[in-house]
Amino acid sequence: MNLKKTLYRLLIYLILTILAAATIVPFVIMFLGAFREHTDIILRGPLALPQIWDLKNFKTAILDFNFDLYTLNTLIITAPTVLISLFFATMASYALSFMKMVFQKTFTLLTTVVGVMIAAEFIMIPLYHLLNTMGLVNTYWAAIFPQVAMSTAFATLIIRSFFQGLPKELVDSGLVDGASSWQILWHILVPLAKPAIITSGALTTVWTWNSYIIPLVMLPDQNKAPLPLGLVLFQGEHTANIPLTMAGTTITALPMLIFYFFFQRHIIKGLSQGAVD
Amino acid sequence: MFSKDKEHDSPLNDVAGKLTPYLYLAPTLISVALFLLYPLFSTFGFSLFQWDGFSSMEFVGISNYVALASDPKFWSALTTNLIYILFFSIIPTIFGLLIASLIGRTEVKGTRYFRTIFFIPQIIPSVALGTIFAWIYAPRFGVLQQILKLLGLGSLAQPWLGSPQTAPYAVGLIGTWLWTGFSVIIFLAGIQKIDEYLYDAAKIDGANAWQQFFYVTLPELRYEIVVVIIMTLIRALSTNVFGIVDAITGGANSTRPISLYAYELAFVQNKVGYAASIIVILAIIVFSFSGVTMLTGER
Repeated sequence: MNLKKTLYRLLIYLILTILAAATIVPFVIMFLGAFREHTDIILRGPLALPQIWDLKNFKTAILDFNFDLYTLNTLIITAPTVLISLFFATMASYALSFMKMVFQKTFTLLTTVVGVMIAAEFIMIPLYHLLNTMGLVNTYWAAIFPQVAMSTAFATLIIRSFFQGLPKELVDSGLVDGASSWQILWHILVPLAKPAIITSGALTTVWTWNSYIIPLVMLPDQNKAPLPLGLVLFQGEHTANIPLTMAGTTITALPMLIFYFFFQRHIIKGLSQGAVD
Repeated sequence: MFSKDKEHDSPLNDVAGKLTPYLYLAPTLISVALFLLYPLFSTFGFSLFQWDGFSSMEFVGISNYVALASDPKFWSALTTNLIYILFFSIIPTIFGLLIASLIGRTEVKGTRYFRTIFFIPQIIPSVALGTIFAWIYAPRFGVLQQILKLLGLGSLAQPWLGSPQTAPYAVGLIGTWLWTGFSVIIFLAGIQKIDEYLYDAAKIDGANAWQQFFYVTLPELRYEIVVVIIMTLIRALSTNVFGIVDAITGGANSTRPISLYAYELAFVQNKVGYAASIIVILAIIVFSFSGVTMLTGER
């Protein structure tokens, strides 16, 4: 009986390990490939380890193929998107949780669940013409505004749900102390809601960094392309050079991998909770 | 009437009287309305017109939808999307359920580490997954081809992405790879919440492992199943698939999903109204699938 249990446990670990290995292998392939040379892949096959560990391919990708520019563009789009959407969502969650409004339920639905369900491709066509009319196509704002709207909806979903769990007395005690509504929000509620705000911020960072459709449509000017778009532009022209493509892919994906290891608790929670709420 | 007076009196309404809550809500409401809701309804409006994006729009009623019905490229994209639903959504859900219920309540040390690893693909840009798997599937110097050779199965190697017979399934398998770990984790969390009493009762009634799975685990996990199916379904039909396919094949060899076809029509061929009608169909499919899944889950 005990042996059976041990074997069973072993089987479970075996399955989990195989699954974990299968998950990681493509990224190991990407990483190792980025250090190879194209002729080396032809001569020694795709599975060999790099002969020399240098950053040559990364240098080429950055210096000759604009990956420095793509990284900068990604930061220019991601930073304001995340900050603006957290600011908007915090205020909206405050109003939806602690204040009284007509159509409160409708507003809550629209700014959370409905907003989250609208994917980029459902709206890309009119969105392009709207932003074109506003004269914003080919400016960073054309990529930022729609992304802010999508991120704000998600952040409102998470932060509002956190605010709902806070006791209303918090607001009352602030009022007794003579604080204004603005002060109550930023000095009493926001410090408490930090976990929810960080969770929303971490996930909207990942999604904005990874977003592809919106920049593809809004930024025909290649000099404004963020990393995912830049990677596809690059790949379209240099498909044959595998190591260089892998270096470009690593530059695109690695920042989020690092980010993930710092914020994994929040990202995992947000990914599971975003769906659950 | 009574509550209106209360609203006015609320001490939080200190910025603009009764309008204060709306002021706090406004930035969010305006962004969502202007950049999400308006374009969503507008897509439907566009679909009733013939328009190249520049000259004046011509109202054509439902004729875009009529043309759609006899467009072989649309039907091909729809078929491809069905394959993606199978591989991105249904298979990972089944794998996840089976693996999670196999583990069940056995205490597994290091679950935390497995969970960290299983979530990694979720934070990688879809297009990066596309370029990595383009190399894995490559017909020349490809990773998979080399692995098969090493295993003595070199004869099985073929240009997976190069033929319409295999390419959609090759892309589909990326989806299975992408979502199985995720669904294992969600179901495992769900299983651990199920009351042990239910399993004991089933055992007393003489239920074997399969019967326990069908009569206890499955019904108790219906909420998690809904969550996983909806999340993967939306991705299978939209964002995930769009980026992966655009990077890996550009839509060649029957890998083009509806979303990519609509993009090409609207922004490359300038058939804006027609593209909008395809998006409307896509949105209807996504929302109705999600709706049906939610309703089934609630029963």
